[in-house]
Amino acid sequence: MSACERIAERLDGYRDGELGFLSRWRVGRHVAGCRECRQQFEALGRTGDWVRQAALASATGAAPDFWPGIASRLPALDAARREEAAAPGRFAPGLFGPVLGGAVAATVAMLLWLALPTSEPSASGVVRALYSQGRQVVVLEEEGADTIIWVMDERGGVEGVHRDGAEINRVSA
Amino acid sequence: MFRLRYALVLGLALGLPAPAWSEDAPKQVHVRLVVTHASPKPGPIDPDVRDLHERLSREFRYESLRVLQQKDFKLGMQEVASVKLPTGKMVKVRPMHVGDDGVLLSVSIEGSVSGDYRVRNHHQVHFGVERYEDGKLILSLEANY
Repeated sequence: MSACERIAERLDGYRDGELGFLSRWRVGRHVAGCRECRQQFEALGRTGDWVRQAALASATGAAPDFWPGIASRLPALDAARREEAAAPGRFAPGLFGPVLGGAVAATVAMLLWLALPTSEPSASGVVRALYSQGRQVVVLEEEGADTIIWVMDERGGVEGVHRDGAEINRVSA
Repeated sequence: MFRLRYALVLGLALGLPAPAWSEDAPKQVHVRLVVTHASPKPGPIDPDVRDLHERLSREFRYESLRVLQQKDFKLGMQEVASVKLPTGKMVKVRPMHVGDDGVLLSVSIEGSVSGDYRVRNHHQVHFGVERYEDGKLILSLEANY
């Protein structure tokens, strides 16, 4: 994988400000010096603008079929909605209050559920990227032990039988 | 005079090719690749792969383990080492970066998986690659720096 390909995978995160300091610095340095990656980054920005405009059009009734779930997540649209809500006489809280309250409560509950730690043991984080070309792969990672990456054979065989007896692939005769 | 000195220091600082922390990073990585055959037929466990057997036997059933080939490489960053498996497929390994949490290796196994792995010193990664004869080929990889 070339440096440009690695950078391309991070461009989205870079644009959205989701990268850590070091990654952000690396991507920024590469984009500044690489014309192709810079063009790709600029194209990404244009796509984002287009989506925002389409979402705004949906909110104002110009494109009623646009998926409202996406629209509600866009910051620019949120700002537009806040402005609309601030306008006098446009909002009837008595009617929508219970519905909105329920939606907010559900969102908060979902965020809390996502933030809670899971009971699964933490992996050692050896595998950073894995391309299996459509084949089944089992990754066995545990703290303090070597990592096993097992590519399942399409025809089955001895490799398909896990020690605990569970058949994870067809066993050949 | 002061301006000249200031400009010289600034120029040197701006002209540094990489951040200071990378100067301490090892420039070479020792990579060991071992190809083993796991078979359902009764037979010996090769003493050279006792560690592999201890790890693997907890997860999979087989009766014998035999080392087919072992190769050691000293690789610089972005330098590629290649090994040909008994099936004729090529394995390519390329160290990309050494950090506090290990060396980042790009491993490509022809016709199978490819990926990036962050491997600490003396940590081994075992790939159950593909069928070979009556069993499975296992590629073990260890990187030290």
